[in-house]
Amino acid sequence: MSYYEPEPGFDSFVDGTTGRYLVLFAEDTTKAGVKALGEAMGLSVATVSAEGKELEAEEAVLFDKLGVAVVNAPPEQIEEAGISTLESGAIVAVEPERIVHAIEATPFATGPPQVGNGALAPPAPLPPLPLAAPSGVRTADYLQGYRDAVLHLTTPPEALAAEAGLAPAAVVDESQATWGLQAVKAVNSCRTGRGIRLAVLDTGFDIGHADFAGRTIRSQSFVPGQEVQDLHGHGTHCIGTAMGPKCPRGVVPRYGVAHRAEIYAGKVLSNAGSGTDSQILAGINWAVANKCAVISMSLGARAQVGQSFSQVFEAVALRASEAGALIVAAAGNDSRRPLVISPVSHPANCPSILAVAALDSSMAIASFSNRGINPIGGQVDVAGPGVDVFSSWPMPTRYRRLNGTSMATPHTAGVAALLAEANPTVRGAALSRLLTATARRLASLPSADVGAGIVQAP
Amino acid sequence: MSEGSEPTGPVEVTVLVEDDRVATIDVVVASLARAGLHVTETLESVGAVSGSVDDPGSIDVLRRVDGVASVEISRAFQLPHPDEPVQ
Repeated sequence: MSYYEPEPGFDSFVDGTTGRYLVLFAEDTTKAGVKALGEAMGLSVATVSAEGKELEAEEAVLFDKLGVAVVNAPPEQIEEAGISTLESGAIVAVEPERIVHAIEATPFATGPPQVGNGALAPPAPLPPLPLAAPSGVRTADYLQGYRDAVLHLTTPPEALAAEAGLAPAAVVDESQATWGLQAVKAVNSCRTGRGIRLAVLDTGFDIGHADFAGRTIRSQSFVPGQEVQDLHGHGTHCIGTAMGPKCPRGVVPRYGVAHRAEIYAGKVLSNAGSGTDSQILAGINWAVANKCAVISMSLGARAQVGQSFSQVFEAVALRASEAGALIVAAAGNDSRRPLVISPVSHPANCPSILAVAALDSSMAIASFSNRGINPIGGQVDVAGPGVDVFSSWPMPTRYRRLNGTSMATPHTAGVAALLAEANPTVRGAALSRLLTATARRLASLPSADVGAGIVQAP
Repeated sequence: MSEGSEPTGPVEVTVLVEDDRVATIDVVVASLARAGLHVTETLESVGAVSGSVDDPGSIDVLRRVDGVASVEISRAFQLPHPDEPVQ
C-alpha cells in the first residue's frame, strides 16, 4: 500500500481534491478490507448496490463490485487506518478523490485536425484552456467512473453520457495540450512520472529530437545491425506520447503524459517496422533487468478467432510482473468497423498483458480497434486516446498526427507511470488492477470494446 | 501486423524455461544446445531462450528437454509504412 503525499506547494484540498479518499482493496479481500477499515477508523461502511447511494451522507461507502471504498475522514485518520490495515494485506492503495473539470466542446480554434505528415501550423491566439476554466459543475471523476460502472445497468446510456459531459463528436481545444492528455486527465495531474522507468519497445528513438534535449535516455537495440536511432518514426511518436516534455520547444501543445519519467528506448522493430518474438522478448528481458515499472509495446501480430494466447509471452509477463514490471500492449488495428471486427492481437491477448483499445475525442471506439472476442486473456482491458494523436516524429519533421491502438498504448503506459509514482509499492499485476479500477467507465460502449474504460491519471 | 508463414528449413524459436529452473537456466540452455538449438540469447530475467533450429521437426526434440516448459515458433511483426495514417 502507499499513501499519497502532495508535492510541496500543491494544495490538494483547494485545487485538486474533494477531501474524500479512495481506498482500493486487494482482489478477493474486499470483505476483510472493509472490516479492517471499519475497525481501524470506527466507521460504518455502507455498501452501494445497483440502486446507488448518496455519498455525501456517509462516512464511508463501498462499491463492492469494484473493491473500492470512498472514505470521508481527515488525512491523519486515513493514514493511521491505512497503516494498520496494511498489516492485513487487504488494501492496495489509498489516494485522494480528485475534482474534475469536464472537457468542454469548443469551436475550431486551431483549424481542423491534421491527419498525415507535416508539422503543426502555429496556432491562432489562445482561447482559455477548457481544463483550466471552471466548468460550473465539479464532479469527482473517479467516483463518477465507479458510479457509472455500478449504475449503467439501470440508467439509460444517453443519460450517463450527458451526466459525464461527453457530447458526441466533441472537438477539443488543443492549444495547450493534446486532446488525449486532457482525456486521460494528465494535464492537471500533480504526478510527473519522476523516478519511474518507462520502457517503450518499438522502432527506437530519435535521440537528437529537440524536445528531448537534456533528458537522460537509456537505450538498446535488439535489431541486428541497426542502431537505436529511429529511421521509421513509430517509436519516436510513442515515446513522445508516453513521456514527452511538459513544455515542447515547438509552438505546439503539450503531448507527453509522464513528462519526467525515465526514458528506456528499446529497439525491437527495425527501421522497416519489422520484428520477431525473439527481439521483443529480448527487449522485455532488458526492461525487467533495468527495473522498469512499465513496459509499453505498441506492436502486435494478428490473432485468429478461437486462437489461444502465447504460453511463452504469458509466462514472461507473469515473471515480469513478479519483478515489478507491468506490460501494456496494443489491442491491434485489424478491425474495419462496422463490417469487420477482429480479436485482440498477440501478445496483448495474454491474460497478464494489459490490452489497450483506441478511442476518438468524442469517446467513440476507433473503427480499426480490435475487440475482446477470444476467451481467456483475449479481452480488451482498458482504452486510451488513439485517433488524431499529435506527438513527436524524427527530425526534421519533428511532429506528426497518427491513429492507432499504437497511440492509445503509450497514453496508457504514461498514466501507469503516474500511478506507479503515486503508489510506490503498487507494481505489476497490482498496478494493472489500479489502472482498471481507476479508469473512467464509458457506459455507452461495450466492455468488449473498451474494457474498464478510459485510463485516468491520478 | 502479420504472422509468419509456414516454416521450412531453419526456423527461429523461443523457449520458455520452467519456473523452478530459471535460477539455473544455463544448465537448461546447455541441454537445449545439445538437442539442436542454435542459441541466440539467454534471457535470464524472464527465463526464456531465443535461437533457431535447422528444421521444424527439431522443435519436438526441444520440447522434451528437461526444464523446458514450452517452445514456440517466433512470430513476425510488421508495422505499416510510416506514411500510413493508421499505425
